[in-house]
Amino acid sequence: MRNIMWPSFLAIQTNTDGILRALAIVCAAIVIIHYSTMFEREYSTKLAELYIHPWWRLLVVLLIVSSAMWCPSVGIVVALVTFFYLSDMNTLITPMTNL
Amino acid sequence: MQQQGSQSGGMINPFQGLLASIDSPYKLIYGCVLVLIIIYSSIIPTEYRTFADSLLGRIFGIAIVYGVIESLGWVYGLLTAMAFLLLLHGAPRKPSGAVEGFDGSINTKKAVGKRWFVEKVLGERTRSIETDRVTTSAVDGH
Repeated sequence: MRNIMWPSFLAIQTNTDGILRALAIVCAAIVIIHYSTMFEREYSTKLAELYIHPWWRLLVVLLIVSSAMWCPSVGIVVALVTFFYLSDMNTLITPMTNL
Repeated sequence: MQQQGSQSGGMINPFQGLLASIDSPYKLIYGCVLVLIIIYSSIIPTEYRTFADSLLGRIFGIAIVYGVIESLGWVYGLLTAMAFLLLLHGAPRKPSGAVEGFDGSINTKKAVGKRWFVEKVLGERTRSIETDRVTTSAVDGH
């Protein structure tokens, strides 16, 4: 039986760090599927209210940087989550006439 | 003679280690600019967004992302791609030169006289009126 060889950046290590990375990727994927794939799916009130504050958006960007420095795969998935969140919120605060 | 106060051996000051691991100032400045663009992407003027959405803008954007990944590293490239996508996402969807709805097809009148109560309440200062007459007709039921 042939073993499937994953590319190195997709390979999951069996130590604690590897399991945590895989867990973070799964959580981010769930968020993408649940919230980001449909514009009509509303974010929680807290997330919508926090978007107005620049310091919150700064923290979100720092989350991307820190997760990217931790693990490239996690960084890419978190960047996707963040992009969908920021773009959805941008759309929500844009007046209808400017869309 | 033995020197006093100097440190010898392999011990590295944590602050020195931190400084050694930090990127160059140019990279950090570029990173800060990217972070600011991402944070305040909603207030970037429409002209820049329209240019980013054009053929030339898209080619430039992809080339810049590729150049940044090659020169500064993939983390900066990821931030650049995100800033570019947010810029692109906010571009107006209307084709240039398109006429919106009733623009130009309705005669406008200059608003004269006292402000209406609802205008005072809502703090509106009407300059012109597009429609001040409504034509209705009886319901034609079958």
